[in-house]
Amino acid sequence: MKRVLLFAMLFLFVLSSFGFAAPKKIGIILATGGLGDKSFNDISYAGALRAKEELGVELDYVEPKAIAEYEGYQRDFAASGEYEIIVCVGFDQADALNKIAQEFPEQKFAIVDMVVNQPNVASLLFKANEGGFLLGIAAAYMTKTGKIGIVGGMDIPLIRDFFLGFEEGVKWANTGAVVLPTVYVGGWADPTKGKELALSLIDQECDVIWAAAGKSGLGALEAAKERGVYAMGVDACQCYLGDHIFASLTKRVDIAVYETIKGAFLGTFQGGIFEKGVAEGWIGNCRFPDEEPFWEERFGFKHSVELPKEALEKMLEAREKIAQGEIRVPRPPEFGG
Amino acid sequence: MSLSLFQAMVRMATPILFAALGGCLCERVGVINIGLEGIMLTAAFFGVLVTYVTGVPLLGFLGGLASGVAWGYVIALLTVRFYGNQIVVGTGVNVFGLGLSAFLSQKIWGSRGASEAVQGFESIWVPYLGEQTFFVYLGFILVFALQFFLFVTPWGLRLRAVGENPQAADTAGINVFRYKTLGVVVGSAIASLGGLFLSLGHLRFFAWGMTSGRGFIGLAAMIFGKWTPVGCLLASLLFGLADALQMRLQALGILPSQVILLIPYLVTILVLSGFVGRATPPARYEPYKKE
Repeated sequence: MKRVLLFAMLFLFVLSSFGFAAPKKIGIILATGGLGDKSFNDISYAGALRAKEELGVELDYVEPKAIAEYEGYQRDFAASGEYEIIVCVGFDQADALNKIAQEFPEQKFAIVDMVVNQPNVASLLFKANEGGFLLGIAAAYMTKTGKIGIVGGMDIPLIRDFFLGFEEGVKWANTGAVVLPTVYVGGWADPTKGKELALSLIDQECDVIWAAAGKSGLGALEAAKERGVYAMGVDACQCYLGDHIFASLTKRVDIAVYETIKGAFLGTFQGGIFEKGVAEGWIGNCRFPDEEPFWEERFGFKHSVELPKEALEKMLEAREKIAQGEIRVPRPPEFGG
Repeated sequence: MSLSLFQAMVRMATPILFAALGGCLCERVGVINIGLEGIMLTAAFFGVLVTYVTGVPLLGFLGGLASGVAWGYVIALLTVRFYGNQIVVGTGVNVFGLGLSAFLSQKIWGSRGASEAVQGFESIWVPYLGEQTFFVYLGFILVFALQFFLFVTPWGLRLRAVGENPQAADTAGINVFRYKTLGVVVGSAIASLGGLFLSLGHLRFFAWGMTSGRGFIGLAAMIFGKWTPVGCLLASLLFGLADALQMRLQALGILPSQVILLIPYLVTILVLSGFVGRATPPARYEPYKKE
């Protein structure tokens, strides 16, 4: 009798552990900028949020304050075993993740903007050069003086990738516009210098300014506003920052994160490098008809500058051609260009 | 030299000048103010915060200035009254300034990165200098006012005496503690103008870490200027010129940008490695203890 009871209990125990096993969750570790940046972190989080709602699972997130905190959060998340996938946002999480991914080979990870060569990590990369190409076309149509100025944060491959594509896009539009040599701030958090650099470009008759320089770029946008010339945004739609900003290159981290999480829950997750661009919708422009409502709703504003019809047509044509492989946008040698 | 280069030089020199002048006053009374960077950042933050809340840039200006005065009192209290180590206190100010502004911007604007845009000061047109905010002109006026104060008036003499030889000054009946506190408080307030120039004059928002080492460059300018206000002005203009020139050279595209970005730093190293001759500090930077 006792034995029967014991077996019955054991049976029930095993059954319950199947039946009542807590459903796995989504974990996301944001970059040090934290939520509220209206850009990288917010957009990544939006992707995770969409996955949460569609899949009906729980979502946990943390906002590390310093690079040194990444490793601790990654280990905590992985060690708990509660997460189907852990998404690490930002290139500076790579070193920590390289270590943690080896410690927990069964845990699925994803990292945005950097490569971690582990079988259980999906590295999500963006072909920023293609986005630069599309934005370059818009710029070529907007300039009246025929001169376009670009401000970079640092002279590194990640930034050169944006600009190489941009310059090619301006040439492809064939409106006679030229891009002046790129100027670099030498840092991501010096808007004062970003503004001065943009002013020096405007002094050289540039009337369209583009900055890919983090917070330093905000200074460049300010310079364009002060002098009454056009500017463009980067990463997320930044056009809500001022009436003079008419288009932004959009890096759809939300789509990349959403697709990766969904794959993990549906069992199609694979480690490796996923580098995608306009063909897959990971890179775009906030003025495309299929994207414009998304951004305007997100930031609660309306684009005020009318983009020339011809410019938009050319951009859509270029998007098609890049997706088909008819146009090959150059990349820096470090990115296999 | 083209006019726009000249104007850019003046703009880039202004925050450095305020930091140098502030540091100069502090060192004249025998206190090394390593915390200039933190003071500037705090002022930049409170300037924007008060303007954001009230909508009046002038109140923001006063708020930022008040934060500079407050820092001055804290530093004076710790280093003059309680004989604290000046380097440790200054470093503390820098770290605290970074932490405080990050924490409060997160709470107020929901982002540690940058604040929302606020209304700034309108610029005033002056021949040759072009459209500049009043900070730039204030900087120039301050240079000559301080030069006069320090080297012509009896109060300036006492202030310098307190730094150069506190025992002698004390014997002569000067209240050493009061003059030291005065120097540090006014010096910190002047440095805070540099932060306000960045966030309310040059730009119209606060970005975390937006001072980007200008407080430290200010210290270098002060040493190069041999602890005199006019010297500080010339040194700041040199650093401003290096920066403005660097930006124009980049746009020409003749040299790799990395090489051009080095120019301001090369100038700093050259200047500080004795290129200008011996730089003898005016004081011994020790807390004064009454016997």
